[in-house]
Amino acid sequence: MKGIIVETIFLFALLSIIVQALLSLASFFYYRNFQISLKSAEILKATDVVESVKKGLEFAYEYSFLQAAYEVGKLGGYESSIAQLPWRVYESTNFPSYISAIEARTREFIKEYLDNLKSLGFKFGEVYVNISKVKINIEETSHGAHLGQIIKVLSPTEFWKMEVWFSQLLNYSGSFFSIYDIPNRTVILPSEYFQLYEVANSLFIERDRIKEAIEKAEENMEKECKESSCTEEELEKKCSNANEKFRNKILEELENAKKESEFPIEFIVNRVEIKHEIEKKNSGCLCRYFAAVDVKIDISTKNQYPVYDAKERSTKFRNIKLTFHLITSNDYEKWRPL
Amino acid sequence: MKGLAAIFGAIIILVVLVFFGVLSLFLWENLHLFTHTVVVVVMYNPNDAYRLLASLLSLNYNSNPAYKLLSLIEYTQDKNFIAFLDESIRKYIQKEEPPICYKLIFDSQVLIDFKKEGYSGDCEDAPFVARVPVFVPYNDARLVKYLILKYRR
Repeated sequence: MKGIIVETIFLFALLSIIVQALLSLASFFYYRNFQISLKSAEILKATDVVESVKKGLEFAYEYSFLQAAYEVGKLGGYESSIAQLPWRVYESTNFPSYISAIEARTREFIKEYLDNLKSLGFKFGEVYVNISKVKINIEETSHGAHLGQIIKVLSPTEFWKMEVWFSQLLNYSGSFFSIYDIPNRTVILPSEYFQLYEVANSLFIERDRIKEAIEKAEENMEKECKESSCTEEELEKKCSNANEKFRNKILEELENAKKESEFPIEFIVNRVEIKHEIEKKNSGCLCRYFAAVDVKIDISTKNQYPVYDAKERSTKFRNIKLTFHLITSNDYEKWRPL
Repeated sequence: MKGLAAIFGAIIILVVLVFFGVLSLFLWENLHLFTHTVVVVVMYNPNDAYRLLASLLSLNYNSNPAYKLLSLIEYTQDKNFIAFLDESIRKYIQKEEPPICYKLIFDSQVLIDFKKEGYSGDCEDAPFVARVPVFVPYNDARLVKYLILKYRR
């Protein structure tokens, strides 16, 4: 009888162990599946966060460029105020390497933007920026004079692009996963910003439009201010305040010069030095006028862009300006008062 | 000898009972976990808010990227664009079950605050919440702001 009780106890113990083992196993797998589900949900969430950041990268790069363009433009195309030079001092010219200055500043801003994602678990490699002009031929199709006649024209178009690339893939890490993706992008840039430099270069470096304005002002001086006076007294009698008249003529000519630019342009005359000389000739006397000016030139885009101004301490839509100085006169050789 | 076997058997039963006891504790713990709202949500009602925000940022409105328009919203305050976002969210959420409420917040600005008629609660403590970073134009404060979506089905 006792044997049966002992065997029953053993059997019950064995059964208990088997049931418990099965339960533990089921519980383990259930917990494991549950853990996998939780992790999958976390990974899905992370991929959506990465997706959102990836979507925004080109805008971060664009905003970085715009800010760089704004700041470099205010420095006349130079990277810093220390490196800044007047574009012209009489015949000597300094046209800035503005592309490399913008590239360097854009790189700094991109780094600043991406540093903001560090706390979220994002890591980026070293960033590189290259800005270049692209020329393409667009095939335009139009209908000709005769029915069914189709004319195909190749019209050359150019635009500016910025390539941004990194030394390594972007990495987003959580507690149990890492996601890698490509952060490189090519951004199309507003061409009008680069046209500011092209227009300014053609007007004030290749030509000296301010010198031309002074020459034109001298040409337009009244006859009695230029001829028939051989002394200062005679000149004052026939043309009082001759220097002041010349100054006004220069300002008028500068207003006319504005019309030559397809972009809004402003001349801020910092200093003007004026003099006149009476030359005695066989046929009579000739009064020549000379002017040397120190001008600040602002040439701005037609469109507005969201940029931050450190002086105003605000971000808003602004025209991006190219601002530079130049010193010039209508006689580079004889007289350099500035 | 037989007495020893009975004691051995009794010890085994005791060990098994203790083990069961401990296991049941774990089961209770697991049970607590399974009944917890967040877990149930993850298992049977996934948080679509992240997916929805990622989709929202990929949209185009009047041939402009929604991402850009959103990042500039502080400067433009385009009400039509906000209405477009509202419509897009509603379409997306309603695919499965009409929402009781949802809230779209950009940084600290509430862009959309929808509540179903008769719902008196606040969407502030909604179970589905997503928060993604959005790059904004350069400024002296923050270059990244957060787009937050909260919703309740």
